[in-house]
Amino acid sequence: MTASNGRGLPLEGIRVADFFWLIAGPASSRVLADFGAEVIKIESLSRVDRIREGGVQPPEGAIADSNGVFNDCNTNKRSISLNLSTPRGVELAKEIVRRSDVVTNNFTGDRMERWGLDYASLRAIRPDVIMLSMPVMGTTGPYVRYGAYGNGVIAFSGLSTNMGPPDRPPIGIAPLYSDFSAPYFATIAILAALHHRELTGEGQFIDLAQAESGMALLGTGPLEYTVNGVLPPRLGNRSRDHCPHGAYRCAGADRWCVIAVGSDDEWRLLCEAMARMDLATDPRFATFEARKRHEDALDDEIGAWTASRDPWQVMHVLQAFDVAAGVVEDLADMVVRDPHLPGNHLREISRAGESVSFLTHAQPMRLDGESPPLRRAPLMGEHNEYVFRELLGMSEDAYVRALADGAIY
Amino acid sequence: MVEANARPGPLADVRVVDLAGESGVFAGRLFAELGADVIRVEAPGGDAVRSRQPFIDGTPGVERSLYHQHFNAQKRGITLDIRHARGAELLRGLARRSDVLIETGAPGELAALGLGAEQLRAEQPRLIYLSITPFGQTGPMAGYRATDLVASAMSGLMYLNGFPDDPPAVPGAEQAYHMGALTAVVGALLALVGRDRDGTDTGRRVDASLQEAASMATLQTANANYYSWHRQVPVRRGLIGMAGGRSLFQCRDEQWVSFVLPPPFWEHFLAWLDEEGIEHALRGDEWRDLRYRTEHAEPVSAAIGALAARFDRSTLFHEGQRRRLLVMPVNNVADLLADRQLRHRQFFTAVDHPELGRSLVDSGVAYRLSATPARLDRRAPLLGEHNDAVFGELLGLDEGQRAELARSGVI
Repeated sequence: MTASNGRGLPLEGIRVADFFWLIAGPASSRVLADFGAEVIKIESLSRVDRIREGGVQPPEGAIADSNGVFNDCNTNKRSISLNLSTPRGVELAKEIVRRSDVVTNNFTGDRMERWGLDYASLRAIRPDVIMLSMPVMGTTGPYVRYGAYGNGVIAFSGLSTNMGPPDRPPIGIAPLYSDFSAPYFATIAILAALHHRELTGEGQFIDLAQAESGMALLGTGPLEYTVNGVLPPRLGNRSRDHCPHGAYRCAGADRWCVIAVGSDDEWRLLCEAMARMDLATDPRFATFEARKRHEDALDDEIGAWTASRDPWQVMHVLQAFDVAAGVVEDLADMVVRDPHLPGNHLREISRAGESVSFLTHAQPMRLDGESPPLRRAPLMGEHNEYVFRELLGMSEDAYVRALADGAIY
Repeated sequence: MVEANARPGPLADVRVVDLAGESGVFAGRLFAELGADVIRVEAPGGDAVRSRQPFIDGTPGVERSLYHQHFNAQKRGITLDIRHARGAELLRGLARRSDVLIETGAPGELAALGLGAEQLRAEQPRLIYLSITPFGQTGPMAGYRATDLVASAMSGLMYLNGFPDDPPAVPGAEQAYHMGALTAVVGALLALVGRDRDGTDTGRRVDASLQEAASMATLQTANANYYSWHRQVPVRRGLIGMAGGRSLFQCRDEQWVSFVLPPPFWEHFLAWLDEEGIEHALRGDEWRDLRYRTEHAEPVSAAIGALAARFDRSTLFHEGQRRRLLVMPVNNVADLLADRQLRHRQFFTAVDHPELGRSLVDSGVAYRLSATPARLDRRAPLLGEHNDAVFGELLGLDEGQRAELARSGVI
């Protein structure tokens, strides 16, 4: 798997023994897999990854592991099925770790310890191993056994109370948001640790609390409280540094366009674009402070202009005048109508012998203009032969015996 | 546990030139926390980040922006007019001595100053040139302008938030900027590790897009296959969560909790209802089936609501978790500062700011690395604070040369 510029993917030669499950974890190791690491998803029938099932399924009906979300989170990985409740299963897992650079898991509590796969044990067999554990609350402290899905992480970490109109319940942000921010924190930590290991040969343990990584996204909220003694205000769609700043209703059902204007120059450009130069000379809107004082009236004027127009037209017209404006895109916009995403960010991938293809996203950063190729998420145990026979070098006898004993399913 | 300040961070050998505007200023902080020497380059007089609200005590001033204090903590700072030919030359010198350059200019903007990726990487092939733009370096919207609001809207992240009768709500604290910076730093570190490993000792050009970065959160919550397979378009539903039932519940003390019933522990929930003597019609076997519950969510939500109304938020949180139900408090910043877990883990970090005569208590770092801890222990730089160190020690300009550059407004 090489990018077309001739240089390999940056993580080629790195192997990851991946005990992640659900979403936030697998979305992290997907980044490593997409950029060339060999990620071995170690699955156990005693704890089946629940997102292999359910979720959004093809119209023809579910085929094996056809949940769209599972397929988003597990591209480019290999999968083995190992019974970690047997001593032989744990032994084989350790053999994989011995050949791995990175070990990952997001179990809550002492699951890895109970398997004998905690950092101290793994370090004994692979001294320079980098191990990342990312439970919701981290690996220490009074809440160490507490669990949540993404919506609970968002609630805990304060990402719900810092948005929306002040008179509404704190419903917060898209419910799985932290499942896609935490993975990039996890990846940063792993890559930084890999860099350190390249220089020094030293591995380490990384403790990442998903809830804390959510709190690292609160911006100035904590400082505003600790320094100024006030809770950050909920501003709805308004901004302290921009005016106008909001979502304006456009023609069509539930269609909206956002507009953000900061300086007086930008305001004049907006007036020009709307062909409303009378507003540019209106003293109510002449300065930022004046616009802030009359923000309701200002929003009414802009809303009156957008209401009869298609949101895409509003965006293109305003952008032609260098005004920051954009369509409030729904899923159909993102998949079909957006000028950029469908052709550049979304990929259709399929698995040999299957009629169904999946739509997933590429990684949002390009290296030397390239976005790595995507391979469909593995079936459970799809790479047993490769991992146990080729990588671990098990004899056919030993492999068959492990199957017969139920150590490998 | 990790002993703070024990050892340098994992990127202690890495130098970063930080030219980012507000859309990418978080990226440099992430590098700095990990021990990199991040040199923030501001125009003489200070950059626009210093005029972002909120201000300390509400009073504007070049050293008073909490936005600057938060996002530039742990960095060094210099002033340099890169639009001046001599300034651009100095920046090239700095880039030659650096590993990573972060910029958020419109595509082509820095190239016009002779500071584009190709130009700098021709001089310094090891350089990792990191660009963060709203829509990426290429494509039909590459030249379009965006703030966080616009990128949030165009990534689908906004459409899903709010009540059906309200406008879509933008996420708080500029999440598109945060996601853009996070993914960009991952890209840069991939290039760094690649440079370490593949024997070429060559950096890469990293192109990060705010729209693409923020869209991932949407494309998972509202998976693209809902549309590609079923032509379904998920909409914002207020308190109704993913599984069809309500997701947030108000407690006896009028605080809120997020309350999710994980499939294996349905019985725990019923037992709790019974202990509380809460009437419900959820005893039949059909309710054990997650799909059935999803399709008949209202009686379940009503029972959770009745339970929530009997307890205050804290009791509901800890008692729920004890019963292995996924109950989480809806915290605000004050709640977080007081939280036992976060205090135990010393998540919030105090950074002294002698010039302001204050200690600034802020969110700490998101990860604990046992051998090479990331840290937050340095306030944001004063304007031009490190001019002498950087232009003198690093670039070798003597005092006279520096004074001349200051007189001509370059630094």
